[in-house]
Amino acid sequence: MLAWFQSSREVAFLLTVAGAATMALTNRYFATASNFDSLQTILAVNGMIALGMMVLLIAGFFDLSVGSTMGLAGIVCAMLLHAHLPIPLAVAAAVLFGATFGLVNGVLVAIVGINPLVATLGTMFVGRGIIETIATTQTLTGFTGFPKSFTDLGNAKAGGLYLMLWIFLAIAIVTHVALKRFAWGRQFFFLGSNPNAAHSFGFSTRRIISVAYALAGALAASAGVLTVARAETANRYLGAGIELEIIVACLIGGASTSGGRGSVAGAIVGTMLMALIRNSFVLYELDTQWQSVILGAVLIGAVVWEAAIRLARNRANPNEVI
Amino acid sequence: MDAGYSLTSLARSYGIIFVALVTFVVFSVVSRKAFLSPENIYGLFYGVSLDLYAITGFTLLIIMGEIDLSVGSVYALSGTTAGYLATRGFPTEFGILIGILIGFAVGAGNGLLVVKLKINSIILTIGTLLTVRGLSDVVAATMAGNRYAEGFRAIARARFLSLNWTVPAMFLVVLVLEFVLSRSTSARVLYYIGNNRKSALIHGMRTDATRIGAFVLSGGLAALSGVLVASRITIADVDMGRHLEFTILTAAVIGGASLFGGRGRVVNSVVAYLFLAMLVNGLIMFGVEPVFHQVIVGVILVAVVAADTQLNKEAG
Repeated sequence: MLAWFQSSREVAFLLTVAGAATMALTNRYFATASNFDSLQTILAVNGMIALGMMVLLIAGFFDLSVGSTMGLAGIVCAMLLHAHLPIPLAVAAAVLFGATFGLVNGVLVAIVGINPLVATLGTMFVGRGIIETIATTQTLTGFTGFPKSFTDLGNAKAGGLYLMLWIFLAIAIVTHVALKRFAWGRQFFFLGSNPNAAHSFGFSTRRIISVAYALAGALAASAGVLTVARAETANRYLGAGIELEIIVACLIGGASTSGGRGSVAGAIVGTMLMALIRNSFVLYELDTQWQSVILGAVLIGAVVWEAAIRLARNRANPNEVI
Repeated sequence: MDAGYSLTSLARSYGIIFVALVTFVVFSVVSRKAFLSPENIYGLFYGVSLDLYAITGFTLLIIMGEIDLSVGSVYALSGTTAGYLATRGFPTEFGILIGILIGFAVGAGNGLLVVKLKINSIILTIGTLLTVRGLSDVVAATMAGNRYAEGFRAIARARFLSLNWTVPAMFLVVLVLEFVLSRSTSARVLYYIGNNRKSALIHGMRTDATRIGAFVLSGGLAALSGVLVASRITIADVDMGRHLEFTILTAAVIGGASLFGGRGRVVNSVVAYLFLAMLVNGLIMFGVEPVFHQVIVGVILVAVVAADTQLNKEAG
């Protein structure tokens, strides 16, 4: 029983269930169709970004630029649609753009050797600055007026669930199988657990890191495209500040900043808990300023929890004096 | 190779001062009138003289290999709270005291958790950044854009020799710090800990206490800067200090500090910060969209760290 509580993923899962139950009992708007609609789309979009971040965290890295990638890719897609490009081509180009943006991060981190915090912080600033510069040529609402078959991507439902949720679930299953069952996916765990050993055993660490960043970029871009399709607008606020929320979701879902740990299930549970927290602010009409306080407190709680368990374990078998 | 005279280490020690001077000259020549006006130059120095304390605390931490991303939020919460209390009728000194105590308290929380629980300082302080930013937004919302009390607004406007007192204070503080950090044995401990913490511990240095102390100091100094800036900007502003931590991080790195610890100088961070302020100021005069300055700061940050990483590799 105690072992079960040692993973923050299980704690997050219990909190999610307990939170959802409490909200269902105390708020009559929680269990309504429109609220479930909004929860679904948050889970699909944030979950997609969290999957990419989770793979990076497993490999021992992280990406602060996912929010900028999401925003830029959404705007790229919107601009291409305005240029009357066919929809599949515009979407593909936006996702490819995201992958390229991610690859730039990967090259900066893996080949140039820059600290991931600084590299992705830099590209976050560059991306956000480009978004702002593009936005100055637009009205406050940004790009609007997309073809119906594009907005369907974000609003259509199949079998009671949003199409975008199905897309997310498909990607999640593929990622899960790849991470657990295929040597290719297990490389990320090897690299994150012991980078030196992975290097000595002949793993192409540079390639693994670059691929992980490109993947994170492509997933963030897909999330951006889907958000534009759902909101039917692409503006300067798209993806702003989302990177911290995603990292918090992954950490409470059992990932560790020192690498080697994490799972697709953890990314989903973490994203669900974060979505519930956001949802509760809307439903109970709490001041938005407190959201950031709660978000930060949850993050601090998650890292302190992880650290306390690690320390307790080390005390049980002290193998390091200093 | 004699490290003291190699081109690399010269570039690290004095490069930023050189770059800042060149930028200054270029802007002065190209946009003579607007940029070189005494008001504009004084404005740049005045702005940096208020942020100086936050930059100093951040640099002392980065020398030890730690990063405190919560400085911008602490700066905002302390400044806004101090102004709020003064405006609610408490004595100005009381407001300032509470503001700075908040900074010390957040710094102590960061330091204790990072050191005692061995938590990565970047991740922990992202948590503090969010929490403290939220609290600061709550206080700012309570102020609802009202002006701070007269007495509070006077702090940053007090004069010394017909200058704002913070400007001569800046030169004094930087000179003293430069002297102390390069000469005093107890200050060199920061560099030893940043270079090799285990070795520092084995040699009898109080590494844990020093690291916690540096976090406490960083929080308190960020609070001091925040109080001064709040006093200057007159009204409560929710955007106060937003992204300040990233600008200071960029300045420290351009100034030769390493994210791995063991390197960095307060005077270089301050000059680099002045350089960034000058760059943004100059580009605005050239009609570059102010929003574009994020792109420039980002490119500079990545380029400088890339160069530094390559130089480190070559040095072996």
